[in-house]
Amino acid sequence: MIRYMKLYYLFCKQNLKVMMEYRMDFLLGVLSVMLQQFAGIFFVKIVFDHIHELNGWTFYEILFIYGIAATGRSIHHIFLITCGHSAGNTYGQESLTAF
Amino acid sequence: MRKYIEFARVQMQVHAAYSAWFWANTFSVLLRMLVIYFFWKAVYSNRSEIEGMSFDGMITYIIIAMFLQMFVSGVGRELAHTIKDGNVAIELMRPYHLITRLIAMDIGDKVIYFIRGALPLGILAFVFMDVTMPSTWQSGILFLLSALMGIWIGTFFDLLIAILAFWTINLWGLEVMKEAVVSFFSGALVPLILFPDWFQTISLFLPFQAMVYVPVAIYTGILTGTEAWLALGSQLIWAILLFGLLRVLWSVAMKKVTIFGG
Repeated sequence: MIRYMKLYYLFCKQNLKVMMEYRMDFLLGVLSVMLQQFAGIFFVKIVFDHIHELNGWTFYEILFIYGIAATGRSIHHIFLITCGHSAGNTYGQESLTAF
Repeated sequence: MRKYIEFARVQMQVHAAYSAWFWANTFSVLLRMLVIYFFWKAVYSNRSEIEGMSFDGMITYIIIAMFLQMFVSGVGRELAHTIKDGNVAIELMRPYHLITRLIAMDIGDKVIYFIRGALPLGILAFVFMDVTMPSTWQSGILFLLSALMGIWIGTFFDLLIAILAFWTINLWGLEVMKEAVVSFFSGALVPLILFPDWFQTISLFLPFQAMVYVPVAIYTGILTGTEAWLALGSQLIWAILLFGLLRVLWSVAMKKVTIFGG
């Protein structure tokens, strides 16, 4: 088990290096992931510009739920996608279409 | 021409070979349709219209847009990978034009997806989800025309981004960015008329709304008459512009090609 934890750590490190190899592209990607998060929130905002509550939930409550969901997904992304896959693999598939 | 048709055909056969993948995909689309349906049902629970759109109109828009969005991406990823792993050197020596081959394969992909994915699921949506037919038969025809142009624009935009890999080599970042920008500005998530005015003005000058918003807006009757024709005109301009830009960029790239071994 410890051996695999070590291996996992090493792979993570290498993978991050591969992604950072192309610095400009990496920065753009990081920025874009943030952009995606922002877009998701903007989507909720736009819907709530036209309605006041959704089945009794207010804007801030929905944002809270969205935040929790996003946190779970992000933790999964950090440890299993960013680290596990090789760079350049599919990444931007989910997120926005959650709704 | 013949060889490109073969490429498209082979691509269809490839898809037929992986049926588990197909069912998983179908299932996920179905699930997404259900989520969308109930989300908007809840949004409309206390009101009959938003910005002049009834629930039927809205669900029609969202579902049709969702299907169309699956067709507006292209084979950019494929091209980017060939560039990154160095295979592009061999591809360029083969007796076909790389871009045309990729587009032919893309057409194969899309045709088979239309027949096996979008069509049956679309019929399902018609029967069970209050998705309506276009308001008049003219708008139906205009929708088809406009959707084809939207798909064309999406495909070429995708390839255009991928060609940038000749300069940036890795394309992960650009691709994520493209995905985010397209799905947002194209109106695939919500009709653009719900957006704030400043946002609508910006997106009027970008090619993204021509990918999804314009065809679906014509379908649902948001754009009619002169407005619809104007939108079609701007689509045509973008289609030609992107096609030209791709050719120019490709020939520039061919002059400075740097190839790594992986």
